[in-house]
Amino acid sequence: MDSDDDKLKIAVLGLTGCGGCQLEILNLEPVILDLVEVFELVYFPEAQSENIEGPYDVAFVEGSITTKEEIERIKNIRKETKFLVSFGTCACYGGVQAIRNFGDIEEARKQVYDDDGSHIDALPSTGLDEYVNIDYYMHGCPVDRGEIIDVLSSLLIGKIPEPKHYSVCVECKLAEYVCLLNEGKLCMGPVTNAGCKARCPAVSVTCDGCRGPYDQANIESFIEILKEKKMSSDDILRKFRMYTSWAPRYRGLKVI
Amino acid sequence: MKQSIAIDRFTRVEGHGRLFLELEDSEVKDVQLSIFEGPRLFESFLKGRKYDEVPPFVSRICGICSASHILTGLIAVENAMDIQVSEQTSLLREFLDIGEIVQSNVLHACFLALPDYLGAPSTIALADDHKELVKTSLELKDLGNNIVRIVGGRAVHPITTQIGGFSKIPSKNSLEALENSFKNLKDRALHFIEIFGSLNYPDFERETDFVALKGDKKYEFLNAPLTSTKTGLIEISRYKEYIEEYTPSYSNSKACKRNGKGFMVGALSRMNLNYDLIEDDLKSLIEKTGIEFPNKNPHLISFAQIVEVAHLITRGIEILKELKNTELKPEKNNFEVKEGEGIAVTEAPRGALLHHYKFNDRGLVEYANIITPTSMNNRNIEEDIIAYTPLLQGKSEEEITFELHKLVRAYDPCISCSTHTLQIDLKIK
Repeated sequence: MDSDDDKLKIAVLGLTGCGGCQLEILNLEPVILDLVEVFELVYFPEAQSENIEGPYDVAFVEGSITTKEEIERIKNIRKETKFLVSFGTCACYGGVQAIRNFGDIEEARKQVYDDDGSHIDALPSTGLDEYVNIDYYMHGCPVDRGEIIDVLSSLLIGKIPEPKHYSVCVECKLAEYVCLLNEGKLCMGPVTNAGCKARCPAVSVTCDGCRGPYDQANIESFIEILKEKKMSSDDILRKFRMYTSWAPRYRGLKVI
Repeated sequence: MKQSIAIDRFTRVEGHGRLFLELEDSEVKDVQLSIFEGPRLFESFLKGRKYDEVPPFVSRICGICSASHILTGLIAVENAMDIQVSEQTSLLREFLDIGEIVQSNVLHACFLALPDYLGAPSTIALADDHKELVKTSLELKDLGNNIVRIVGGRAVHPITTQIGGFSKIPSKNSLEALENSFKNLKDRALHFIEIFGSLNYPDFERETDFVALKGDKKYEFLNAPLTSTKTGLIEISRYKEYIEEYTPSYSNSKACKRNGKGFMVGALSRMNLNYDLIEDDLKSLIEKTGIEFPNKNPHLISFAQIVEVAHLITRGIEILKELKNTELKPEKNNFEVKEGEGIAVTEAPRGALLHHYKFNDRGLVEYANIITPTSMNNRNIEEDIIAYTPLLQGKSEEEITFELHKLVRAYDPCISCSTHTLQIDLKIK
């Protein structure tokens, strides 16, 4: 592949996850040909067979860390990358598969699955920042297409995109959707990072908190409100343990 | 002469896999298709979760076929609790599914496989020399995604798909907007049959067991009996007697056998079992290419995917017409949560997908088992490699590696799917 010195060199790759966030880049069909005019995709093994192993100006890394090999891999990528983006909820918080981190390991051991399955190493599932410094977090399961464009546009003009400091509720109210919490449903909007334009409440489905807690979220008082609404501790804890259960502010959460 | 060949990391394949091969005088002594993406242990954390968390959770097994996982999960839960859905819901689900199959088939055929035949590292790199081809590929993929967005609320991990029915019904305006894209793309989708029919596919056929849903009156992805070209009906209530799952010692993914051998699922199996249900105008275009179905060449999986895309555009236009002529009503999903067991099998883009759950009387998951198309295809790919490699005698190691990579890629393996479910003994050090 020809190297073009003027263009930002971009890497897109995945660790343990579903591939959905990387797919959202390919899902930018109407603009993808414009993007490759202004960026150079030097590493994107999911989409191309010629890939350069660094250095990168920007790396979008999807997926969580679940094996020792991945710990080494993310450390190497960190060394090669100027601006490292945790791309999506798995990379930010360990994703849905982090729920297993709460399980009783001994109990899991007792479950005899495959006699020949013992060769596989599985670590607790964590976000990338458990092992390396991260320059920017893009939340969401999956990341929002619009946000990908926003971030790329900022980078193009040499700016670091400004993270949002408010909750999904703000976007939900602006769009005038019906408040599901008021209807007695367990909606995570009040504590969840904005940026999705309240996509789930927009179709009458409660927010599952897939973007994680926003920086000023008052989690304790949110839980108090849920209890006042007669929601059970089990249901509340289960809702916090969906896609962002291993977020530092959620992993030690106890609901009594 | 002994020789070993390794592809350390597949490219243009979803997820992380490698291939190791040991040859002696062109004879394959050992073949290992190894998936090294981290295991995700879905079963271990689905246990104890609520029935209505199952569909959105299993969606996260795979970003490319998230709608298929949701739909299969929904049907399995509904089977377990005897929940019936309305015709409107069935029709909208079929439409949503069409969106995903089109998106995923085009992604594989046009973006992952096609560069192998046009000598490019990626389809994007083809944009200058094959402008129309790339443009149409992008538009077709966009159409598939837009269907899922309009019906499901989001292209990856749709939201509106709830147990018993949709949380929100698409507006007439949004459906009308799709109608134009369908009409606009129909002829070009037909033309793709000619283009993909003229690619220089390797001359390789192997007899195997082709497994897919077999429709009666129409080409089915969601609701038809699972059928084998070798043994006929596969009773899904007793699937464990028909499909043997095992974990190779060299892989993080399960693999499957039937009667001790690999079998194939996916677009080629579907086409082999359902060719008579394809529209006549498509058949005459296919005949002109000289390609015949049933067909035993795995490289033609992408051709079968392109034929499906053309068929689904016709079917999509029909559904749109039907949706236009009916008054779409919001639905109340009233049902009773109860103890039960449910199994569902559908056609995900890459082939048969099976979900199996047991719930207790509070609707909590007591048992979960998911068999993905890529797990089903694993052994068949290895068997193909054993049969195909001797035909490459005389070629350089680089050429052999390229040809084997191309063969693996032809299957469109989805590695995220295949590592979702590995049930293992957890080792924390």
